[in-house]
Amino acid sequence: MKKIVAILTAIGLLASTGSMITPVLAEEAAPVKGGTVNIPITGDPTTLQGWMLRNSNENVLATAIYETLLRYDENGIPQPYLCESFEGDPEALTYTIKLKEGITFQDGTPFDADAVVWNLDYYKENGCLSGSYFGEYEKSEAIDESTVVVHLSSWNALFNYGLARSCYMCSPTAVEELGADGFNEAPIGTGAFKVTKWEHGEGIYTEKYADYWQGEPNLDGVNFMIYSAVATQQAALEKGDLDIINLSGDAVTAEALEAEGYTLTNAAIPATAYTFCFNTQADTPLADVRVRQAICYAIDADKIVSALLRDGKFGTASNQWAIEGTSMYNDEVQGYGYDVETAKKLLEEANYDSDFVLKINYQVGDFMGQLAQICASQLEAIGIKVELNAIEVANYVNYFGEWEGILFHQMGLQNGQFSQISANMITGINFGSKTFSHRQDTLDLIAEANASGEETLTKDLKEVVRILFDETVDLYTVAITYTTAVTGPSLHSDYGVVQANRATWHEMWKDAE
Amino acid sequence: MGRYILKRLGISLFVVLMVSIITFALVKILPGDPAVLALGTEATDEELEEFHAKYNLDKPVVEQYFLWMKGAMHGDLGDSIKFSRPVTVCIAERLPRTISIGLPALIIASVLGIVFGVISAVFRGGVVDNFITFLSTIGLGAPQFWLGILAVTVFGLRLDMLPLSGYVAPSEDFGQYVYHAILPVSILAFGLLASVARQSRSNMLEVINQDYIRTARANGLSESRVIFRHALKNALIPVITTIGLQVRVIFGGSLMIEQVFNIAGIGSLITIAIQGRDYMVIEGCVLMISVFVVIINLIIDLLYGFVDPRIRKSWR
Amino acid sequence: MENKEILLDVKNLRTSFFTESGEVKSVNDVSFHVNRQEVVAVVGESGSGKSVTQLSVLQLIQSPPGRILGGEIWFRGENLLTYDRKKMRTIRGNGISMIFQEPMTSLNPVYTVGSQLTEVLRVHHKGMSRQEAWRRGVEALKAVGIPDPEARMKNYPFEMSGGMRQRVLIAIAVACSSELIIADEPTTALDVTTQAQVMELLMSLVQENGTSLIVVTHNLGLVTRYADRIYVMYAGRIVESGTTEMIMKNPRHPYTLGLMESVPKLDTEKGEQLIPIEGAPPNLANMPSYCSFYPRCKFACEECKNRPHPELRSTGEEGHYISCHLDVRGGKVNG
Repeated sequence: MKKIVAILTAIGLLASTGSMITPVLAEEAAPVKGGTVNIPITGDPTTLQGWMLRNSNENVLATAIYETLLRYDENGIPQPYLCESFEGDPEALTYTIKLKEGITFQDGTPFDADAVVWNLDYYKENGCLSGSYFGEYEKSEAIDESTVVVHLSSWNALFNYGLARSCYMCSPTAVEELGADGFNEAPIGTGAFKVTKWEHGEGIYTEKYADYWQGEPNLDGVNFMIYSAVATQQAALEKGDLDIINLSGDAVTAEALEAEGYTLTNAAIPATAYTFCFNTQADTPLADVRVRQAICYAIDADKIVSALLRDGKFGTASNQWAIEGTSMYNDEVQGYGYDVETAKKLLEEANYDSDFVLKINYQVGDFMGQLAQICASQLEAIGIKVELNAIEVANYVNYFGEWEGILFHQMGLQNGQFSQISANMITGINFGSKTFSHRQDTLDLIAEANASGEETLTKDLKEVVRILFDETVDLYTVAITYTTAVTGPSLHSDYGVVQANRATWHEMWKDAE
Repeated sequence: MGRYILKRLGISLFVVLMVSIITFALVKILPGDPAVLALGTEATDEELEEFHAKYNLDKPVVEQYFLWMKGAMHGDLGDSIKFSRPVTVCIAERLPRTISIGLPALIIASVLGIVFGVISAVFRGGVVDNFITFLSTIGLGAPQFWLGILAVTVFGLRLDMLPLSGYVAPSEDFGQYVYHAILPVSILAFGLLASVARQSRSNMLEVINQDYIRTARANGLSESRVIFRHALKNALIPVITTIGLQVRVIFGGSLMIEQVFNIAGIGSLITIAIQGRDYMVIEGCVLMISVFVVIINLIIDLLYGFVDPRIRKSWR
Repeated sequence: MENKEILLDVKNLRTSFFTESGEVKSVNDVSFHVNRQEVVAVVGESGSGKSVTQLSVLQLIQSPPGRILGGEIWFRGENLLTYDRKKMRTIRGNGISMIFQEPMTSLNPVYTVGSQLTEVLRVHHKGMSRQEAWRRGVEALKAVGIPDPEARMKNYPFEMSGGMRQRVLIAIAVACSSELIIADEPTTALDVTTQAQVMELLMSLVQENGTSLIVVTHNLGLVTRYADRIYVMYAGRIVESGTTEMIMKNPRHPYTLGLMESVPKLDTEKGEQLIPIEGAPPNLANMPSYCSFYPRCKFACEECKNRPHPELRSTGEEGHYISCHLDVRGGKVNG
């Protein structure tokens, strides 16, 4: 069973822009009320506590049960969701949040400023990514029933990202009453569906929350059933036990199902960028930028995408960590196309030691393995000896600090290029600490971006992207994949792929049986 | 016999202890930090340290083992790192599922295996024998995994007779339990059955050619008496061992079956725990399985003694 | 005083084994008889068919690959070969009993001696109670000279010596009062002292209970001491038969002669060579039409090869028969 675990699952949302495959028809007939939808997850979530949710498994369910103050739009930019407005004041080091009216938690308690204050404080203390996103948070206060003012110790321009990605709003009453452990089994959020039962090992059952603020949900309930392997998910889909399954990089299965009449939908926001992360610091031929450039020229990314990802149906090529046409994309990045002659010339110039064995490290996986092998053969074509090193999941993180040669990394792109650059390409963290160039200008730009408003942030980070991919060649993107949702014709939803944040659960409906 | 039992219990305890130590050592040797696996790569060093402290991961390995051992003796197997729940709860949830698939499978496989093996031996060379041998070869050679998927595809998808996966507890709804359990139990039993049948057959053949069988016939005993009273008892003694070796399936579960049929049992629990370096769960499960296996083996050895008087004598 | 009443009369028995190499004629037209209270020896080398003959009497031949092809076996006025399986079972262990060569492995190791004894008793005597069967079992053990029989009933075979086990097997025959005991190499696996004990026991049964005994053996010494009459078998046929005295004093068949010469006797002088019979036993799947002993016969001549296998004919002495074309006496061919 090769395709166990990993990537998949999660429910995402289809957005119309940027998607490559026919969206599921949503507006044809009138929605049918009632029915249950079954969605697979690969294993029990570690937790259902809103402040602790972070893994991809949990993201699937998270948005059905919980909601965040802000949400990513189709470009990956956080937009107000549970709030009307979200204004930051760098001088005063405050953010003012104006909440929407009329929202209640699934236990009936009101979603008001007090509740939000409680949540922010609680998250600061207990939240899983508190260190990353709430580092500067000091306190917040409820100015009136629907206004909250957040006070920071120093400016954090990316605070909205934190509130879009994490910090799901939980009912303070429920947490206080049930305690953290009790709340874990019976979580209460503001979302369209409320958890009725968590059968460990089997699945999580939910029922609709009739007083959901965006309107009563069409479905009676959504069940998240545990299916650890894609093959069993597929069989269940065909039998009707499941209504949706998610695939990533698996063109074969996707097309087979499409041929049987299932609908494929891609998320707008790409899922994963398969990236060469170079060890530029060790005393090897890789330390020479020309060698790295040569490697980039040797890879025929377009061919890979056309072969494995069906010409862009399931993924695309790019020269950075964003897709052309999206807001974070930097047009000025030139990238390195496919040019074997130039590659060979560069190697010659750099006096490349042809006896050197280039190690490519990657985490085991079907698609990942295929990619690695294709890249290896393309590199061998220009005279570079390659050794592939497939690493077990649990061991993979041990390579983060330092690796030999190339770390062929699966960089998650749900949160956008900017977030990943500023989180991963800095000093003081584990990832790449001994391998990336960390050129001073990039570090300065990132620091400035974090402390600035949106305009400067965008400008600075785009420049960092250009430097990292074009000049210092610390990174090279081989392919970017989408997660593809496969749905049966009876399911009608603005539903898409793994992306956690944009499912419109209450609108989802199903044909009557 | 009392002395024998005492001696065996002593050895069993030692075995369980050694198993727990070796398992602990092995898992600790594996590279990988459960904190990172649980918290993700963006966790800060602080968060990682807190996590380590919470689960005693910052202490020396030997101390960790003793802490665990001390807890275990009081019935506290620690907390699962991945699920943030006590290990005993995790195991208690999944064990009934594993047992309710494994136990029927073992019983069916043992009984049918012996029956088929004996029939095969008594009617050696006949159509029945050839057919049973053919099935046994498949059962022994075909990967359980493949058989399982085949069965699911045929019975679940194409014929739509049985469910694809899932599990219903027998206490909840016995009818549904049987409906869901037919396929996993059958596939699991198939492999076991094959080896029991093979073994029974060859033992039976050997026994039938023994002198005392000739004596029994020469003394005018009917063929059925010869087979069922004289031959069977002798032939089955080694088969008891074979069955005993498979007992671990009842408690440890078969990972393949659990994967294909989507049953959240002990097998998948251990696998998830290993992938996540969830030491407490691994140790807890291994302890549970080794205790059960050791007890069952003791019972089997005692059973041997009841069946074979020569063994009984050696106990004194 | 001899009792001339015939107990078992075997006529023209033929048993073959059908193997890949062809039909092995293990018992090739064999006729013999046993009188009441008589001890008959069947002598021959391995492969002569002596054991298969006796197994055929009790119809214990493994089939496939063996099969009794023809003949008559008269016992108690009826031809056993016409019996169905159920009826045959009433004879086995209960009219005709057979004991075998390896006492060490002839008893079921996981049941007590007592249970194996009583089982046979209760199978042959429907409705016999357990207590009665137990009593008879103890009696039988006593009758074969086993001390402390009550305790022995509760023993397992592995707790007994070879000699003791052989006695138990005989006891089973005694318990059911069999009229004929066929002993196939009963002492070969035992040491010399025990051999004597077992033979004495068997002889006492003959004398006291009137049981008849067939002893199948290759041990001539045994034969001379205990047997009344001897049948010599070679390659599936009887080549010589007669009283012990006749055969010992005056062996007429070249094979019998050869047997005598190859066995050491008490008066064999030290240094005197034993003369083995040259050659090897024949391949029973591929027998010639002429005399089967021809290849190994000291006295063989062209004539023997041209004529078909010799029939059993009288030697002139009453009751002494041989199957040979020649007239061999005293180690020399006459005429």
